[in-house]
Amino acid sequence: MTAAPTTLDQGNAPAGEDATLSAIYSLLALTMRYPEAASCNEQLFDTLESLLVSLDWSGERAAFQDWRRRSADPLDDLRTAYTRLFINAVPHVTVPPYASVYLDGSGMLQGPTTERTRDFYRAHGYDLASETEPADHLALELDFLAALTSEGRDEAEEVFLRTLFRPWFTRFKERCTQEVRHPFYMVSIQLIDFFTKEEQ
Amino acid sequence: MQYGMVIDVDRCVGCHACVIACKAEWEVPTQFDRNWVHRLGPSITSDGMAATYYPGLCNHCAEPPCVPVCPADPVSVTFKDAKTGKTVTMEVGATWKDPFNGTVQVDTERCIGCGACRDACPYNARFVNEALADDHSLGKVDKCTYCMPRVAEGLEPACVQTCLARARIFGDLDDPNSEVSQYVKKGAVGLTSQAVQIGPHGLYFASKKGDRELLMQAAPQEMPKVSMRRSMLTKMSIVAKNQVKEIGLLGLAGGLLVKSLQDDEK
Amino acid sequence: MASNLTRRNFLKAASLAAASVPLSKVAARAQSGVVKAPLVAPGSFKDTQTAVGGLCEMCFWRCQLVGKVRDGRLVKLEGNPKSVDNGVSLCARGNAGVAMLYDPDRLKYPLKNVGKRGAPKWQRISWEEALDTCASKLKTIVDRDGAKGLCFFGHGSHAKYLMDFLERTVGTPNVSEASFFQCRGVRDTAYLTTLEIAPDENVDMANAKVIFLTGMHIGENIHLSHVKNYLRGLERGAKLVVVDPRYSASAAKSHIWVPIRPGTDTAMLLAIMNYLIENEKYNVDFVDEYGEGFEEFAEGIKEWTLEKAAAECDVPAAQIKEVADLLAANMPHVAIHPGRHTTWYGTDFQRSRALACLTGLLGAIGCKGGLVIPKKPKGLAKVNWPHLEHEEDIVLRELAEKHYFAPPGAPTELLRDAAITGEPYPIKGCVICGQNIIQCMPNQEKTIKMLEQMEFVLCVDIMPTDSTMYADILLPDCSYLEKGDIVKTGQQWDLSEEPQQYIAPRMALVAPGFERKDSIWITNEIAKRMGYGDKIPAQSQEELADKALAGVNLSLAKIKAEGGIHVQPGEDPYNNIEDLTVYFYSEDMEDEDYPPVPTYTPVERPPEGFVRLVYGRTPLHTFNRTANNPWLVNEAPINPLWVNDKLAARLGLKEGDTIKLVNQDGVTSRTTTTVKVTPGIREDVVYMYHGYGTRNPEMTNAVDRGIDDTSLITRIAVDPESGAHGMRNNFVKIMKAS
Repeated sequence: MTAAPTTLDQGNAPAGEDATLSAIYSLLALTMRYPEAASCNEQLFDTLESLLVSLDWSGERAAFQDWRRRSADPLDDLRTAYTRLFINAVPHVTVPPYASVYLDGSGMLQGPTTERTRDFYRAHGYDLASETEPADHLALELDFLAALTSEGRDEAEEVFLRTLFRPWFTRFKERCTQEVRHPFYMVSIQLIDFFTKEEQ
Repeated sequence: MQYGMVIDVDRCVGCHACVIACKAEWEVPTQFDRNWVHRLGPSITSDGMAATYYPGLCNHCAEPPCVPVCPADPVSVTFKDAKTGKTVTMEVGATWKDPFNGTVQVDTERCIGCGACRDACPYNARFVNEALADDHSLGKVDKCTYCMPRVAEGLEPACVQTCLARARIFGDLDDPNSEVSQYVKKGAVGLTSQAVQIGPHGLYFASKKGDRELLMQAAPQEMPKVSMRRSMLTKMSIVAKNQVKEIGLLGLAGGLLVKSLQDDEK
Repeated sequence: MASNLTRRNFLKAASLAAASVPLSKVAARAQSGVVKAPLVAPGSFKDTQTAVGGLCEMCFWRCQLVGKVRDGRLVKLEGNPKSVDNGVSLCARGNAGVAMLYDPDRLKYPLKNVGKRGAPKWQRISWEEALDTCASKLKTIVDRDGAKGLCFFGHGSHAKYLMDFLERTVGTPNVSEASFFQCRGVRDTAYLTTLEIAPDENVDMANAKVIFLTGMHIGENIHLSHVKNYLRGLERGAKLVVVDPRYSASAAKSHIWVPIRPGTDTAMLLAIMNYLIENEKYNVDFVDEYGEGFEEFAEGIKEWTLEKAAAECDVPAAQIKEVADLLAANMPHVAIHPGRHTTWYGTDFQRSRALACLTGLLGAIGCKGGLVIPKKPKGLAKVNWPHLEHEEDIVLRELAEKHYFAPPGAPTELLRDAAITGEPYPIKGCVICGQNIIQCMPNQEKTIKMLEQMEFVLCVDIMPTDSTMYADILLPDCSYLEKGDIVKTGQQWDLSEEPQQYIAPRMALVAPGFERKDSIWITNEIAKRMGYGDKIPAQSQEELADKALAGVNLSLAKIKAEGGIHVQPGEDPYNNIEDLTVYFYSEDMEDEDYPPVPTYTPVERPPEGFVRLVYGRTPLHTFNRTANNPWLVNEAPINPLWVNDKLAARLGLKEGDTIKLVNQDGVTSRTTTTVKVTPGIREDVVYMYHGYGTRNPEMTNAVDRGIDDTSLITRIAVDPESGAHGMRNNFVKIMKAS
């Protein structure tokens, strides 16, 4: 039935590529966690910039550089932005980064999709290390993808992306397009989109 | 056996607990309702000022118009009577009236989401959840099931259990000693009208004339027209969709088929 | 974005630094492959555990709950089958607790405002930083201005521990509870003055021959076992009398509906009592035995003939007589309902006193069907913050020489004025817990002014309500499903049944997510940092409950093992009136220059072109508290304005028209609502549900839905005896919105 010519890495990609992809997933997961001094620093910003250079996203890179230049306290700046976008916000409504909000028909956390996501983690040998956030938080899903690809499990990665990640991320991204103005988060969401979408 | 639900509106206070309990029990998405509560009045009736409530749900009718319009390919299903162990085998589409307990049920797997049954119901008791669309369907229909899975475990329907007024009474209308039968003797009736007489098993009891009037005014006044052509188009489109997909022309062909459905809707 | 670069191509490039992975590796489970999504929900009874010991707090009645939990996720809430109170039933809000629990708009982490009060910019901070800030700011104010430099507004069981810390131990007198000053405090103090009984809503409706309600819209007001009590009375043949300008849910079940002119209920009550006295139809023996000052009372209300009241109340004299005769024919088994939300016009102490006198006049106390106080279990230990000696016990109302019959705490209006003016002393620190003071108190501009002049505002809540927009620090409380903080006790609701008592401590049904903390922990942490660590009565919520339960040889563990509720044989609640006195004439009141006999004061009538705005409850919401709940919003998204059909015709309004309101002070509603045209309401009044029209965009389901009635209540009416706020004294014009 799945004869569609739309899979991601078909079967066995070279190990080097998997390692790189895993690293990218981890990096992107980092951008979607609450900014902390230890990890949210110049090294991170440099890394993201070099990604933008490699991808040849010159517009995005310019905006990102501009923000870096103008921001007196990037960490403080990011913490306010993150809180506004993903925790509790004014003047706009939040963009909750949880699958169940977009897929389960009630806009609630901890829906059936959350259950299925956690079951998927467990079926593949992973579980949450803490119960603070629901299983379907964007950062956790990216961490999981990093874990899968680090083990070269491309098929599982493809299935997860297709059935549990992309269906909600596309809607999340749409909302972000309306709500997100901060160059850092515009970049991170676009990067996540690029690295998780199907290729024609 | 014919299960039925009596609503005693003398007791009902219109609190909507029944709606929310059902929603929680069956994880119904927020914008849909398997059951509902409408406030009627205050209005002037032939008996003075009156106000009451219309808690509604699927009536599991004697002659359900939703069953014959289902275009899903019929399959053979064997039903078993929970009490006697007796069995009977019938050809059914994706929805049917149970031969033993009289409830109307849906096979969600086989439903193709065409909406014909939803359109056929004069009480608007069914809805189609398009978020559940897959390769074989445009969505899945859903409705009140009289909580048969709960009843099978010896539990009351969720709405009956939560009702703080004890205004919902559930049981076998064919059993002359059941509480629902006593209500029938007291005068509980379904919401019928001249044009809509399909034998509802949701019955309403009100001792006040004004309340009875308001309820009968809330009954559907006409039978909906169902487009058989649309449901058949849906059916065909799913099959055609699969064929076309294999040739890789999905994008183009799907566009054509979807457009023709929309044309039919107009 | 440039080029045709694909992910595949890109990955052939250089490697990058990886970050740490917070997912832990566990042994793979036996199953493999993708878990197929079930198309049909399995039902709450499948693969779930039943968590016991829940106590609802969607409203404040506190029904007893169990939760159906699947793998840590709450699927459904149900009544606890062991409950002799609500049984297995729950109302719509109780059922919707699941949606509250998982509302993505709920507060999750401690937040600091790095923007302005009223237009906040939030930043997530650590608990350490949040608590340090709170303690240091509060302590600075206390050290400089005294404990009276702080004020507290709170509601519900979440707030009690924090309030007691601030009031008893730290010693601030500026505590103003909404439930007292904007709701039922005036009722209690009026009944205490008259009967020395705090009535709550303890009328034995299940066994009454007549149920008499003034404005009490049972049915739209859902307190579960109270509704059961009422319905049983009706089923047993009680005659229901409803005095209400609107054909409410209870009017719809009534035998007599008195569509009274708003603000005139006291006149009707006085006329009923006068008629009963003049015709010797009152309970003579009872009054002889228990009454005080009866002759002066009878003399004092003599002017209230049926005709005089009929003219004032705009109802036929014959109908008032019919009601009086019905009460007399069935006394003493009549339930004169004390009401609940009783702060209507600023004349409410006198009205409540009239109700209490009527109850005494009919002898309807302690008997079947009357005012009967249930017998709750005794012996639970009182565990609380110690009441410390304070240098000065400043009482605002004593300083103002007002409100001598106020409920506990500070009358809100005096508190607000003191904060804004700085007289008689400055109030620079504000703590708000579980209350939306913006929507709760009349004249929102004043509330905002009060908050803006504070040096520090701390809010503790579960939802980002309008109030929280003014917080400097905003702390995420646990909801009632995630914490345990009180013990509910009571008796079975049908008092004529075999007496049973219950003890139901609240226990968490699920673990709190994110970094939410219960308000007992929050209070203790602040207390420690302020130097009161040695005064802490309980180190945790569990310890608080266990200490209280130890007084009756119980514990959380024991009660959990019993299914979450301890039930024991109870006591007969009837006929406990040996010490009763009915003060028909109150010398205490006379001493303070208040009318000693219940007295009617007319209220202003609507000016030409205006109608009175009256508000109430919907069974789907507990005002703004549940305004964001998606399931409840879906059922009652808006608060339609009830408009009399004749008035609507004159104004050219049709059912469903979208309208705005403008009040007598020229204040226009910020948002709109729709019109409900009905003959079931008088022409001089319009009605809507309270709690809508949220202005905080963070409540994504609630924001801007319907009209915020409080925004139109700008003219204040303070009850002189109690200091409570009357809020039905504002008038509106209806304007069509395009």
